[in-house]
Amino acid sequence: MDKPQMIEHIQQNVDYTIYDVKWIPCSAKFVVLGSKPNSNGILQIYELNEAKAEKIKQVVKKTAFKCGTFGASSLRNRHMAIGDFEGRMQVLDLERPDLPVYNVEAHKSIINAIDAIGGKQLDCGAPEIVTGSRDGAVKVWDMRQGSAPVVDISPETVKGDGINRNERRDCWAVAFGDSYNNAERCVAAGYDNGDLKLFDLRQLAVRWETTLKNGICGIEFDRADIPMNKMGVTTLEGGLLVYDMRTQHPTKGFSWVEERNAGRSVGSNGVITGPKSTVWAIRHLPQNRDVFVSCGGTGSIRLWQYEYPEKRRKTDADENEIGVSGTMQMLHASTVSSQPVHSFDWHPDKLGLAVCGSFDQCVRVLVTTKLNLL
Amino acid sequence: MNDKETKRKLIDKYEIPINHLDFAYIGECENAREMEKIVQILRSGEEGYFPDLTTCAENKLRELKPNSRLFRYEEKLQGREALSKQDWKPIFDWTNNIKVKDTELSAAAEKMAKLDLGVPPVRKSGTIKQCDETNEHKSKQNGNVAATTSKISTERIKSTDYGKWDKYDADEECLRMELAEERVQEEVERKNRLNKQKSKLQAEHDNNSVTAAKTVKEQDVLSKFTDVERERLAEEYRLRGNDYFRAKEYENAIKEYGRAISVCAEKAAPAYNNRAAANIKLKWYTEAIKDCKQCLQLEPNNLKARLRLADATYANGDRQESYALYMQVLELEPENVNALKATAQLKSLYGDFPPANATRLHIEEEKSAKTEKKREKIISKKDTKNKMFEKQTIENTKPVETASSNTSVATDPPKTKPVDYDLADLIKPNRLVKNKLASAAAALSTMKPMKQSKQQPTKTTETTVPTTYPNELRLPSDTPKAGGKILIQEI
Repeated sequence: MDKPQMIEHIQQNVDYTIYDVKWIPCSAKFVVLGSKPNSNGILQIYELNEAKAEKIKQVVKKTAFKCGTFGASSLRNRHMAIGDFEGRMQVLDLERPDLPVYNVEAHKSIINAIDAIGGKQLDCGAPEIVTGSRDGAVKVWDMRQGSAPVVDISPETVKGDGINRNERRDCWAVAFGDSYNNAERCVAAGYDNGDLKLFDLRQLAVRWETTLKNGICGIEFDRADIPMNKMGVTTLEGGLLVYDMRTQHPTKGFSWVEERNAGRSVGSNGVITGPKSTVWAIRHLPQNRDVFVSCGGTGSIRLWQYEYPEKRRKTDADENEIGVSGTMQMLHASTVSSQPVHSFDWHPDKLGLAVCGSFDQCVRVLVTTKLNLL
Repeated sequence: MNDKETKRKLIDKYEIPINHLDFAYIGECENAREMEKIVQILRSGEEGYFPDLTTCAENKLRELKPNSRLFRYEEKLQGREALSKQDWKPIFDWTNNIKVKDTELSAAAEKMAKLDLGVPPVRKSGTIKQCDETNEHKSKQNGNVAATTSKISTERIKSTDYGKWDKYDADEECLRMELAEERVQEEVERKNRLNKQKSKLQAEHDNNSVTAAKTVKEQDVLSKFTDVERERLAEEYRLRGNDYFRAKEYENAIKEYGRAISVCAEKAAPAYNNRAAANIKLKWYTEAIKDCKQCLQLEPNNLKARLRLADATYANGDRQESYALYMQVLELEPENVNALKATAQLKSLYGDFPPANATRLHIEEEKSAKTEKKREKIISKKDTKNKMFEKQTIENTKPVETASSNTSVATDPPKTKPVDYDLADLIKPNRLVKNKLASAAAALSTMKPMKQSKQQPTKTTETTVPTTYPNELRLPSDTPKAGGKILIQEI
């Protein structure tokens, strides 16, 4: 067997609903964000200790936490940016969590997604945080600037067309990308109606947009700090798409490879049964950008490898360059939980170590073997 | 309707004749798509349970399409016991290791909380943009074509207003909506196209404006980093390099590895090693050899580096040298397949390799002595003159040569006084001497011995030393000339 294999290392039950899990960079600790039954926000820090995860800290705040990230924090200031259910975005120093380092009423409604960049890398621009909310807005924040976003990407109030009044799309996913120097940067945003938009932060313009069949639950660039290479998108009803972001065709945009039913469990005999299920998240391996995991609504986790085509671009009849998508190879699949697995995080420093949270109130530390052989 | 469809058997749905579910047919079938269907039918058990036939069909499918979706199985999630204790050990070790680093970092954070990373300034507050755009085209769409539609949508026709409904033309309305949709599509495409052009132009511009000042700044920041931070940064660069390597963009990979090395030179062994691999892929063997040597300096027992060094040396053309290097690999891992194969091949190429412990110098000496002997044999066969004379001519040409090389450094005639030459000196510039031998032999065969002994040295000086050199330069050749005269006269 030289295939990767996922192994459940630690299973930690908690008494609240988990919304996000993240490793603290350069440590054996991970943070669990969630909502207590009384809808208070809870943040717990666990540390790996041989075969156990020991709780070392707990913070409770008034509002339930939805999502968090360490992307904008340097190794020296490992501060976590957290979005909550009432639209507040705060940056916490985990050593002194009582008083947030940065605190802003970012949105009118729940912050569904957060992403950040620029903390660790030297030459990829300012540390910035992007939030996407139910109020339809996507906002980019810089902690050095007061309470106003540096970039505000909110839809104007659309006058209802008579039937659907006040239609504001719910933003479900955001991700930074293309930040390969100090000026260049992109934000990809996915909405509940299947809209997928790529905003260029330097030009302050929409660079590309398309609409998928289903609402978009998760977006991630394979790497945020390089010229756009690949972007993974997951949707309701089991869509898993990987776009080749190297070549943008003037009319057709980016080419992609799609896997349907990626949210379902694969039956034991290869015949897929059961309802179509959401793919909640896609997470690329920090040590190998062509390997990624997709988390399904049936509690299944699938490990994929992207294979590039022979030539990544070709010219079409009009002499325009168009990208050529590769193929996805499933490496491993297993069902982790009976409930959807909605958050997953690879450890940035240790190949194969990951933590995932699911709606069965359980955090699992997973070890994936033989990833180095891919 | 739906119920009916699900009840329809797979065999009908796929339109596969029943006689295709047969060993003979499966054996001949070359159509992967059909094979997949057959496997699905057999697996479903709708036509009955045929375990042998199913495995037969699966094997055939595996042959035709090894990565078919039908071979995707879900595996049971295994617990901790799936890995043995020694497998867990590195993980636990890593945990303890990272904890140390963690506390180190926290301490650093306490000490100097603020670190100026030289981050770029806050973005110019980009007011609004996005749905400017979408609204723009929405409003445009509403503005021109769909002005009427929007009006209609705002002024909906009441269901009781029959007079208006009579005027309402459904087809026209449909057409209008389609047109509006098309227009939106066009608008989007136009915008995408525009944006793409813009981004291209500016990207080029940006690439040019990457300055050297940045690297200075970077160095400045680096000096403030703690070891853990630098290590981690270097690792990040290295991983990025690995990504490029896997994507076969070797030049970029080399650049990233170079950064990793410059950030953290003490622990750069893996980065050197990887850069060597990238260099080999680009066939830049001399660079690769350098990198391997650097890596081996840091980690003398790095097997991969040794193997890469041997491979690079071999590919660079120094096959005989590479033999010893492969033997060094075998020292570390006697079973290494690549090294064994390479040594076997080298042995078959050059049958008489010395044992593994022989030094490089040893091989060279043997070789040069051998070739020297060979050369002498050939010349003696030519029956021009005997060996003694031959050596003489060599001696004649030799001082002239050294003189010419000396002139560039110092023009002092006394410096170039006659020297006693030993054999080793004669062997060193193998080719040069050989060349002159041929011309000398030719000259000798046509001229009388007396004249020739005088002419010969001057002739060679003409070829090697520019004519503008002063006469004294030729002085050193005088004394051996005399010796030569005597020798030739003897003959």
